[in-house]
Amino acid sequence: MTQYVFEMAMTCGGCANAARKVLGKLGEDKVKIDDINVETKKITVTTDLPADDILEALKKTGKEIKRLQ
Amino acid sequence: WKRAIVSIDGMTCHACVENIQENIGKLDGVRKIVVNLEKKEGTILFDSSKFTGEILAEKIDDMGFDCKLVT
Ligand SMILES: [Cu+2]
Ligand SMILES: [Cu+2]
Repeated sequence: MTQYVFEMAMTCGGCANAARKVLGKLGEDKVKIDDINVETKKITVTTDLPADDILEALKKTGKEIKRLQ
Repeated sequence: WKRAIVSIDGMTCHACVENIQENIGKLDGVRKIVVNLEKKEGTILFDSSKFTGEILAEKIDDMGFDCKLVT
């Protein structure tokens, strides 16, 4: 399992919910959401999936997204 | 052109509204989309040879909102 941190242009709770939902669609058992923080705009997950899969899923929210670590 | 009305759950502010309007509105085959935050509803005018209401509802759902076709 690897932990990744992404920065997404979240502005409200709706953005955070959308992020949670698109990640959930990858499979609740596949991606563990460690933290979603609207203030810092950071999303931290732990997963066996490649970081690009997470990035692609998060892109579906229509928000700007990049990987930090 | 066909009109679809969809229910959209999970929006909290106008940024959510604009995000959906922008991303669905730019699809080739969508002429117009108006999202109403208070009513949790979206009205979409689309080319019925390119989309169905179900597919468009699914596209909004895929963005991370709970979306269902109403009519
Ligand atoms: Cu938002
Ligand atoms: Cu919002």
